[in-house]
Amino acid sequence: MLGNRVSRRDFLRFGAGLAVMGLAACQEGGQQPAASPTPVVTGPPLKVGIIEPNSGVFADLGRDQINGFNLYLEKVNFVAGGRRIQLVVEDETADPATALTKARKLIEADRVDMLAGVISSASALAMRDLVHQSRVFTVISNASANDITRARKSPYIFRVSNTNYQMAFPLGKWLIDNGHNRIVLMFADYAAGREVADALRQGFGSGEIVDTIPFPLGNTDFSSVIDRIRASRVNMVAGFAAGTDAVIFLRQFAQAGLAGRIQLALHDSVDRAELAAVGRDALGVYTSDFWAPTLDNPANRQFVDEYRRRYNEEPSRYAVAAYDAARLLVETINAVNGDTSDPDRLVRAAETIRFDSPRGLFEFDPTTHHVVQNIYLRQVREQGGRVTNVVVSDLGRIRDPG
Amino acid sequence: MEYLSALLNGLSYGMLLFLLGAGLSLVFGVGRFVNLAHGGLYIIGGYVGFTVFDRLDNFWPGMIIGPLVGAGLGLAADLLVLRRLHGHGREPDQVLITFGLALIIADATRAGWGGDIRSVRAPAPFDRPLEVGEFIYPTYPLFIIGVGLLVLALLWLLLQRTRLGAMIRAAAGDPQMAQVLGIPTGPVLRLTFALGVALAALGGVVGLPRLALAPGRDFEMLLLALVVVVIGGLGRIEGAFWASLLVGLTDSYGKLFFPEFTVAMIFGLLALVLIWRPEGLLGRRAA
Amino acid sequence: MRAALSATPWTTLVARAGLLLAVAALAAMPPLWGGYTLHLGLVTVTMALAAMSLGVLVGWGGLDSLGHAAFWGLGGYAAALLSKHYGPWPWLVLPVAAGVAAGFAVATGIFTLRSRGIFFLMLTLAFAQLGFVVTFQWRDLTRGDDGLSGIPALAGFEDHRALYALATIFLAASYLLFSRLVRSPVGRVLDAARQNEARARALGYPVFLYRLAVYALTGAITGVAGALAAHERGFVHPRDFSLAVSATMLIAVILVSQRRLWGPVLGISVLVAMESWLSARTEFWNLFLGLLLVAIVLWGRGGIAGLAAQAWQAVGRLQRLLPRGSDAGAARRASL
Repeated sequence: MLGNRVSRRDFLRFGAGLAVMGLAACQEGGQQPAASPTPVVTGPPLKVGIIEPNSGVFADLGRDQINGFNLYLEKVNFVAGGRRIQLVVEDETADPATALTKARKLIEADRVDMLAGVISSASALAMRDLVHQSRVFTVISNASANDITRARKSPYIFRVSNTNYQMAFPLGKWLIDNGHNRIVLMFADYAAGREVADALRQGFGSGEIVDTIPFPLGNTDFSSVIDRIRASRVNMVAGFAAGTDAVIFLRQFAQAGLAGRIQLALHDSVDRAELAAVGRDALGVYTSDFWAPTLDNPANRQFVDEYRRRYNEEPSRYAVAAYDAARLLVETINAVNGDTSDPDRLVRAAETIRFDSPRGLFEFDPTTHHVVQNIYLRQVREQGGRVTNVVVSDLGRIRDPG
Repeated sequence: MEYLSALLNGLSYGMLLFLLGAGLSLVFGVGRFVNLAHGGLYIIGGYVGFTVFDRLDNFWPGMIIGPLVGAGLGLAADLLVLRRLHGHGREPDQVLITFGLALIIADATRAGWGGDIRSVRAPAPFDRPLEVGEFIYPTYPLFIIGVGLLVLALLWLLLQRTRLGAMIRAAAGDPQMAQVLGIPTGPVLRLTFALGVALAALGGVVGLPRLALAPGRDFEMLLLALVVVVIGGLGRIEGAFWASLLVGLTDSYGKLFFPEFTVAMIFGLLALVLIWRPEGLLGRRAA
Repeated sequence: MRAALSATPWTTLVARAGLLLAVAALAAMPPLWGGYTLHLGLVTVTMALAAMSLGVLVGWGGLDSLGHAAFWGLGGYAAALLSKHYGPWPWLVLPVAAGVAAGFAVATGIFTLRSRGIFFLMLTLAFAQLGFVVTFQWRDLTRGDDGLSGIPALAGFEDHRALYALATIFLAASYLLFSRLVRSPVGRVLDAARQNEARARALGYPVFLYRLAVYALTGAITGVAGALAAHERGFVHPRDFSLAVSATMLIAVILVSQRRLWGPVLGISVLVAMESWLSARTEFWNLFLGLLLVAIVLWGRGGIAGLAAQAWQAVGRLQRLLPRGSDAGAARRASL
């Protein structure tokens, strides 16, 4: 009935949680990697500050990202440029003021050489001035507000995830190019939701938006939304719902008997966590994202395989972004031979980094320091005995206009 | 058509809020105990319901097990830590300690079930929508309405027609007098507390197919429960009932007309009601 | 309450001087150490200013508010918007922040102050939530939940050490102001009305007016605190109006002592220190914080002040376990 049986994992997690609490209560918050064959270390340790939510609403996203960081860093034995990498992890919670405090702690008290992470856009924007004035090389691995690499960009801030525009515009374009010219636009009414809706509209161009339905963030009752969708008599609903909103919407959509009758194209709203929560009720839903677990390239096959073996669960988009962020950090440090004393030199080195990521070719736009990448259209299907996102179409190599 | 839908949505959401609000009303209004961990009991009920459904592939036992777990935890908490804090003048202590318990529950549930979103399908026979001609409506919300009305009836029976109910009302109205009359106020209030949190846990189970569980849900539900209890006036189950209907309908019709301002509407409603009647809709001048 | 040490004028003077010295040393640490410590110090001082104002409302007015963050948020947004559009002039930003907050206090107080107890609690919360919704939705003005970042530093106080000094001066000045207030006729009437409203009114005192005035004053001071915080952080966010912030302030008041003006200051310090220390060490810091609160209620009668008093008494009891010594001091202690 439910899809994934998670009970044993819960017990493991409970026990692990208690163990972590006990261990962490004795430690400083820095993470020591497992013993590995001696790598060539010639310089002093390099501290990387990681800002991820360990508690609160985004805790599971933070955990995925930390998994992603660790997975890549373990491959290089936590060594880059002849220096041992030491992660200093701080809890972003869901509060930008707290995130800023932690960023200050990492930069001023812990004296980290570089920063990475940040789930929340508000937190990233709050930190921007501090990071810029302190000239700290920062890799944003999730926060998706357009402005972070547009109006509020800084040369020291690199983003490896996406902008809201970057994944929504091509989706809108795909809709109109594939005959879905009458849609309902539905989105969570907050900053990110609005940016996605705006970009969808732009990509959709001259198509007809029969009804626009914003709903409050954290909405628990989508009945009126679903009624309006039904009343509009369209075949396709495009839009965006975050986390729990997506889960509740999909459940209630199915309970109203509409699953499969009206198509849904929901930006990046349905990833591993949502699929784990709703299972088959999400079948058929289209999403646009920079990756899918089923994306067929050698780097991804290896990544998914390693992730499954290491963490005993499916990777998520957050893990991939962090994995790439870690690779970016390592390759940048390698490029400067471990000399992180000059932030401008780090910036110049990072700008030219290109590699084959699990999502395809990874490179930066030198003017915005935001990733240029392929965006894929996926659909939730049953494959290999599990419900997952399958790549349906490559929407092209998309660059954020900046 | 939309208006009929919105009506049913509002009633259903209202009944879910009633389960929460009735529980808090019992605990607070009757037991005179500020319980900021009420939302935590909601999510405990929800997580228990989820685990039961997950293991037994059957939703219905959760509706018994969830409230039982809630009542058990409530009794344990009362016996172990809350016992000495009942009564007038101890409100700051009650606020602090139940807030502490709420924080503990938040992290403990996250440790036990992870921070991932948990959701379940509506159980049969409520997983198919109702189709009356052109009008299609999911059936599970109707089930929630049924549960709410049933609980209302049972509570009314308990409080108005049983000896225990009379004792509860006496202990609530005037604890000292009740004690003089030989009513064991301690155990009675403890039972009321357990019943109140059991209702919250029941709400968590019943709400699970419609809502999802994730970190933060506990404080959201606590806030709603407080709104309902305050709008309704303290200690009156009928007050909690009408208040939850009012909030539910405001929410659903609000979403229809002003979707951007739904949250504001709930608090606007609260402000309006309290400005009009500072003691709540059915509140009496409390001592 | 029996003291473990006998209190001669000399020991009292030494103890008091020592205490003041310790407080001064603690207060001087942030600007001396700079960086992160200075940031924590600024957060503590600004929040303490807000919590102390709330403490007056709660401890003397009997008005438990869960919407105090509204003043904090309003002050912050006023500072942010003024600074961005006109300039970060202290003589403009701070009075306007105070004025806006006071105005909100009067406008809402007219309605909320007719309720007491939990009704007042929820009404203040409701108005704060309305503030949250307005800042969240009025995106053209406030940029919604992206927050308003890039707020310029307060002119003349770009160095955070100077800002810290300013905030500390405000805190000290407010402390003196509130000390005067609670001893003044207005303060006494407020306190009397807290204990028996009917009697105070019957005696002819304009209770409602006095409450409104104090509500406006505490609101205004909290608005200034919020403005200072906005300049320190460089951004404001709708979350500044949230229940979480209001609850933190209220907890800080209840945690130590409701009837001491310095109580909330200590409470905020404890909460900030604990959150900072705990969250660096475990992801379940909420749990430990919760356990601390439970422990304080169960064993620290009267909040942390009570806990300290109990520790003091425990020391006295331990002293008595020692064999009777030869000096008079020990004998005196042992006989208590």
